[in-house]
Parts: sequence; C-alpha cells; structure tokens
Amino acid sequence: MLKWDALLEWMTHLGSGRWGAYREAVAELSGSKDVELQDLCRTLRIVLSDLGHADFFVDGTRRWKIRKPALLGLQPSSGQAVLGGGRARHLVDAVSTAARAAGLDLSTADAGVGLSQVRVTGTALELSDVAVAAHIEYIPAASAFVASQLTPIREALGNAPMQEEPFNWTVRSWSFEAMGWAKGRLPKTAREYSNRYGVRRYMVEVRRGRLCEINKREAVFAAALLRRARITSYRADKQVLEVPLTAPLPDPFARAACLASGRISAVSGGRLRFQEVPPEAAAVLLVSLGQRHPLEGAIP
Amino acid sequence: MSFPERYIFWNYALAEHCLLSDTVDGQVLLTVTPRILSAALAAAGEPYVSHQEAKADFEAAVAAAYRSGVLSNRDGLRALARCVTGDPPLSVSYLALSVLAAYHMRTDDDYTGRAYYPRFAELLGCDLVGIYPVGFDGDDFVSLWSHLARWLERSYCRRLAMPGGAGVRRFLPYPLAHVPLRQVDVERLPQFFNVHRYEPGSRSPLGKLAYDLYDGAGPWRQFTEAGQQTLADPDRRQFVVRQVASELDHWDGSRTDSSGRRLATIELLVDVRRRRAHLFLLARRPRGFPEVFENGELVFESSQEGWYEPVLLGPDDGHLLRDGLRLTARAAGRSYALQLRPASVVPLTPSEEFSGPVSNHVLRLDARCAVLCPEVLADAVAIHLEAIALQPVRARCDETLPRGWCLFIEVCPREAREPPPNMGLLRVESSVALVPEGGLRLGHRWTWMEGVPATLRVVGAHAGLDVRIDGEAADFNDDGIIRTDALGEDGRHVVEVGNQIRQRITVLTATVHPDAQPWYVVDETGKQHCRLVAVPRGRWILIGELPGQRSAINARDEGAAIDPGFNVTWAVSVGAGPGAAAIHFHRGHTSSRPGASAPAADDVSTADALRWAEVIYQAAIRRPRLSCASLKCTAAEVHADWQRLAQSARSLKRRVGGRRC
Repeated sequence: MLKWDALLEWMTHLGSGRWGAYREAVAELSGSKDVELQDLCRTLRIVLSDLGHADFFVDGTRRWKIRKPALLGLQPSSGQAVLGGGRARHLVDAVSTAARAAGLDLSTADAGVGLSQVRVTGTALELSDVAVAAHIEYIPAASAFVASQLTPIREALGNAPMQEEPFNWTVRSWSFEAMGWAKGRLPKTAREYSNRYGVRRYMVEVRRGRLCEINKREAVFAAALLRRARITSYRADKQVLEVPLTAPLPDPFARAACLASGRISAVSGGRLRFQEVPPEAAAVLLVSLGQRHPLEGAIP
Repeated sequence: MSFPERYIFWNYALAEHCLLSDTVDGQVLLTVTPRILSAALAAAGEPYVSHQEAKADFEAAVAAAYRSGVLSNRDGLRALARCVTGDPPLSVSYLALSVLAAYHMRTDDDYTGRAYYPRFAELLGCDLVGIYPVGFDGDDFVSLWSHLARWLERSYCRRLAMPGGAGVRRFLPYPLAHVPLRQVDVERLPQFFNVHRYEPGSRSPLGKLAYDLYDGAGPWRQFTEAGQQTLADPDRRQFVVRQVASELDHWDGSRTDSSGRRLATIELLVDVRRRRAHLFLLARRPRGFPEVFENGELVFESSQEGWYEPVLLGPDDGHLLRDGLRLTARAAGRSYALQLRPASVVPLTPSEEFSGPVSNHVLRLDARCAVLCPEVLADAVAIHLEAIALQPVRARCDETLPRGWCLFIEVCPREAREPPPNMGLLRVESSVALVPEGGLRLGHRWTWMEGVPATLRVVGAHAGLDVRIDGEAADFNDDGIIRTDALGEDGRHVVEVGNQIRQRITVLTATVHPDAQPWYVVDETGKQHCRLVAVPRGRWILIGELPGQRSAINARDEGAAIDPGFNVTWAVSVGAGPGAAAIHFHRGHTSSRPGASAPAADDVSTADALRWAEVIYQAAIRRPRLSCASLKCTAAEVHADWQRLAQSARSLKRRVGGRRC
C-alpha cells in the first residue's frame, strides 16, 4: 500500500467533502508541516481527478466527490483497464479475486506520486466479467466515454453569466504573447480578479467591457477561442497532445486525455504532455476546446 | 419476555452517553433532552438525525418496550430491574423517559406546569389509571432508580444523582433530580452563553459557570421563577451548573437575537505553515445556516459539518480583530448573522476538529495553547504567560499576521494563576479533557480510519490518573499523549482516564460510500451520451452503418463534436460543386455501455434509407478525398471500405428505386 492510498480510501469512505478537509487529510498523511502543502494538494488533486477517482470543485463549489468504483477501459488496442473511482481494500481484493478466477493478469504499480494504480489485462468481455464479479461497472474505452460528456468551451462560454467587473480587486490577464498570466488588464482575454481574502474569480472579455464569468481553466481556452489562437498541439504520429504548462486542460478534458493510456500527464519543456491519446479522442478534445480539428488542413 | 431491539439499543446508547462518559467528582446525571438524545445516537454511530426525530424514535422505542415488556408481564416494572453481565440495566431508557417527561413540564394548552404523570403517560403511549400511567408502581419505580445507582457504583465507581430528603411528592423527585432546568429554561441558555461569552461545544470550568449563574450576582434573571429557585437552592445548584455545562457542550453556537435573527460565532484559527503563522477566520455553521455567506469581499463557504471554510486574514485585517465583524444574510425567509467579537487578548487552545489551535475563552492546563494580542500588550501578556508556563515565551510578529498584532505559540500552562484584570480570558482551566490530534477522521467526531488513528492527548490536571484502553492499562508521556497501538485496529474502543473521562472511539475500515458519483449519466430522454465524434469545420453528414442512419451538421471554425445517437462510420462533406471529403471512423473508439442496443434496420423508413444512400452516392461520384480519423488504416484499406459503402448505397438506390417504378 502506497502513501496516498490511504487518502483515496478516506475519500472513498466519506463520498464527498470540502477542500479544507481534503487539505487537512493531505497534511496529516504527509507527516510534515514543512512540505509545500499547497503544491502537494494540487498535485494529488490532479492525479486523483485525471485518473478518474474523484471530481473536484463540483459545480463551481469547493467540494470534491468520489466517483463510483469502475473498471475503466483504456485504448481498445491495449486490452487493459484500470480500477477507477473510489477504492477500498475489500474492493481491490474483490477485483483481484475475480481477475485471478478469470485467469487475467492484474498488476499494481505506482501511478507516479505514491498512489497505486490497479491494472487488469483482458478482452472487453473478460474485463466486463471481472467487473460484474466485483459488483462494479465496466466502461469500455473510458477516454471516449468521458470525452463524450464534455461541455465544449464554446457552449460553456455561451452559458457563462455576464458580470460587472469586480471593484477594487487585483487583476491579472492571460497574455497570449507570454503564454502566462500578466499583471494588469489586457483586452479580449481571460482575466483573474482576486481580493485580499484569497477569493478569485475568472472572467473573459467577450466584447469591449463585457465580461463573462467562467472557471479558471476554461477561461484561457475561451479567450483562445475568441481570438482563434492555437495554444495546443497534437502529434498524430506519436499520439501526443500538448498544452502549455500555464494553461492546463480543464479537469474533464484532462481526464479524457489521461484515461486513453491510464497515465498522468508529464511536464516537458514547459508543456504538459498527454501520451497515447488516440486521434479520434484528440479530435473530440481539441474541437471541444475550440482548438480546431487535427485533420483541419488535410481536408480540402 | 423480550424487549424490542431498538429499546436495547437506546438503553446502551444512553448508558454510554449519559452515565459512562464524563463525570464530575464521580457523580453522574441521567439528564435527557432532545438534543442529548440526538447526540447519543450520533455517538453510537447512527447517522445524524434532528433533535425531534431522535426524540420521536426514543419515545417510540420505550413505548413499544413498555407495552411488550412491562404491561404484558406480571412482574410489571420489576421486569426492568435486570441486566445481563456487562450490559447496563434494562431500566435505563425507561427511567430516561421519565426524566424527559419531567423536562417538558411547563404550562401549556393541555397541562399546568405541575402536571407530570399525564405527560409521562403520553410519552409512554398509555392511559392514566387514577393519577398514574397504567402499570406504574411507585415503589418499583424508586427501586429501579436504586438498582441503577447500585449498578453504577459497583461497576464504575460512580454515583447517580438521587433526591435528598423527603418531600410531599414521593416519586417525582427522582426524575426531577436529573432535570435541574426544564425545557423552558434550557431554551433561554443560548442567551446566557452569549451574554457571558461562552463558546459553543466548549467545556467550561464548573466554577466559572456557577459564578455566572449564581455566585456573581444571584440567580440569572432570565430564568423562570422555578429555574431561579432551583439555582437559589444550594443542594440543587450544582445540578443546574452541570446541566448548563452539558447544554454548553452540545450547543452548536446558534442563538437568536431580539429581532429573530439567528447568530453564530466566528472563531480564529492559527496554522503554522512553512514556519510562518497564518491566522484564519473560522465561522461556525450551525444547522440550517446558509451554504454560502457572502458579504462584499468576504465569502464563507460551508466546510465540514458545523463549520464554514476558514478565511485567511492578511496584514491589513487588524481592524477586524480590533473592531469585530458582523455579516448578515437571508435564506429561506430567515435572517442569519455571523459575528466576530472585538478582542484584545485571544486565547487559542487545541481543537478536536482542526490541526491548529482555535480561539477559546480560557487557556487549558498542560495543553499547547496560543495567545493572540495587540503588540502594545505583548509585554504584559508575556509576563503572565511566563508565570503560568514556568518558562520563557516569545511573541512572534510574522508578516503574515495582521499588522499590529502578535502571537505566542506553544504556550503550555503548567499552573493556574489569576490573570491581570484586562486579560480575563487568560484564565487557566484545569479540568481533564481528552483531545484527539491528527488521524483521518471519518465523519463523526470520534471515528477514525483504520491504520490512521488520532493521537490522544490528555490535557488538564491528569497527574496520578490511570489510563485504560479497552480495559487494559496504558500510560502517557510528559506531553499527556497516550501511548498505545490499540487505536489503529478496526473496532470500538473505550478510553478511560481515571473515573473522569470515558470516551468511546470507533475505528473503521474504509468502505465505498453509496452516494459516489455515477459514471453513466442518462438524460431525461433515457439516451446515453457515448457516441461523440468530431469533424473539421464545414457542412458534414454523419453516416451510420445502417441505412437511414444519417445526421447533418454545420461545424464552426474549430470543428464540431456531435453525438448523433448511432455509431458513426463515415462523415461525408459534399456540396453542389466538384470535390468531396469523407472521414472514416472506427466503431471501437466509441464507448457503448454493455447492453446498449443500436436501432434496428426495420425502424428506418424507405425515404430515410434513400437519403442515406443518396449522400454516399453523391460523394462517391465526386471521388472524395478519404481520411481515417484514427489514422489506423492504410489508404488502400480506407479506399476499400469506402468502395464497399458506395456499393451498398448504389444497390440500395437501385433496389428501392426499382420498387418505386
């Protein structure tokens, strides 16, 4: 059992909770007050979210909610599935027993940060049988499934409420030149407003002085959509999807990208690389992000 | 003869919560109010229910047991004078209900304030025979109380409160001895707590409560005449003080001001991160308070049970501490307020629920406390703290703290001394308390996850007291931390500190919460969204493998992702002019739930089938540029697949066209 498995078990038992409680749990398990707790909480949050264990900031609140345990099928060609959603010891035992009974290979490895990942190898039918025996769901091609539930950035922007600019709050703007947040108010881009109590709000200037409020990660892509700027790239030959480190994918998009391979993203040269993302899934992600279809240009 | 399971459960829960938990000088009361019933259920591991739901459940359980175990038994009430070895007597819940009847005595539409037995009969769900409930025998009733007292004395060295001296009424004094204050007075206690600045859920020194209730200026004037008379009676005053202490322990911090607005307190929380002290506003959230409390820049969002998320204070927020703060909000037609009192010196003590110390109204003996004060008072505060901690202390003025304020941390009072006049809150409380630190808590206050238990620290005057865990002797180190591995194991454990604390602790193996977020979301039409495909910009017609499966879309600049409700095999772009494009999709990339079925070909009309074939035909005659969305297929494979589709479209056109002719 790895260090952060206890965190996932704790979340699984509670079902849902607040960010503050999650933070305290991370602090407790980290065993030291001197760690960069904020960074650690964020890293673990990303891993737990991207690998399909839990949703964070549910409905714009500071709540997290655990997902139902499920065998999440990776790329169909891999013939593998990972155990996603909540996880408790008896559940892992049940999956392990069922896999053994079916003669399937089950392996447990570090997902990258001290959190175990359970992988089962078999055909779709065999994996489905294992899920049934362990009383959990089996989701074939989980990446495509998650991608099918995304809200496109264009739609999110269309649904975002118009807001007055907050008065007397500190402003930063997303700079497409610097590919990062810059102090001050730049036109027709995403803006971050923060007050001295740490409350942050994100808005996009859709027309001069007209602001729509939207969540942080979506805000940058919404601004890119309005400017028709490309900030992502996809290499079909290597099946690698890349985004700037400073503009990570919104949570559901990142989950869809990670569940193609069952691997978390890696940082390389100031960019986040999602590996083994098949072209169909990448196309859905990019189009939903407002970033153009990868076949654009190849089609007359 | 058997008693219902629920009655046995209540018996156990009330014995644990009221008789076997904390005691003062070895004496205990069987005080029962709806709030205590609710707390007893929660402590026994039941899901939270409201006070009224707990009361209704309790009444129903006792009434059922009374019918089946007493009224239908020739021994009558004597049937309750039994106990299986190790378990509490069967009489506990019945006697507790008699206490509840006494607690509710007040003048209302049905009864006078002196009517006891009609209320008792009503709670038992039976009729009166003469002046007593059916089956009531006064002597047996007294015997049950004596039997319970003997059991407590013999098994736990505790004394049950019993009435002193003979009165006019022979039996009523027994339950009344456990109801120092009735409902009508208890309902006024939040006002008392607020006036005297008591903190919710705190365990106040009984001496201070006694002083504020009576010794300082006579009985508190807001109590009813009966309440004031009880306070004036030296024999019963301690009972009142204990009941008030119990109410304070269970008080959620909510009170109602003169305008009907519900108020709750904002506490302060200290957290030391990266060697810098951070100060937070920590607002209590009693039940019923809004999810979000927003007022200008400050936003309090609900956090774990009973609290809002902490709000970090910055260097410019010193005025909030000095002047206090009051936020108001309306929800569901009611007004609410959060209030931070102006402060000069703020003691902070270890908390059961947070890793850092939380503001209190006293310091705790032998506990690691903190003290926040304005810089101008730092020297005076330091002198007092050094006197009680018996070692030097140092004020820190980190830049993370509000300007003009400083903080003493790791202050461990070793002896109690009267504080200077302007620092009354720096009084040291010496009563023994058990403070859990760390661990992964599972919802309830005293429940932790297996393998990650809390560390238990005994604070207060605990020298010489024995510590037992599950009956086995344990010990504590110089910091009061109990040394044990027993609490890491799954199960229920009991920690006893002398005869003053008996705390039940539950350790659970994690299970999957039943309300976890489902993966499959079915919309109102029952359709599952699992067949999304993406196309580049332009007008596209999505083609399914079955004739008739066809859907058109105008994609914007970035392209479009669409779920047409069938498995897409091709997307075709064809216009009036020359040229066309077609993208090949593989079935495997979609995620159909096992068991989800595709529409049958029989469902398709002839016209739809013809339109499907026509699109393919029109594209085919323009020699479309072919692509594979998955890049898996070679050009030859894509071409062959397209030819097969084109061929089947041509066949269909000929077949249907021929039939029409």
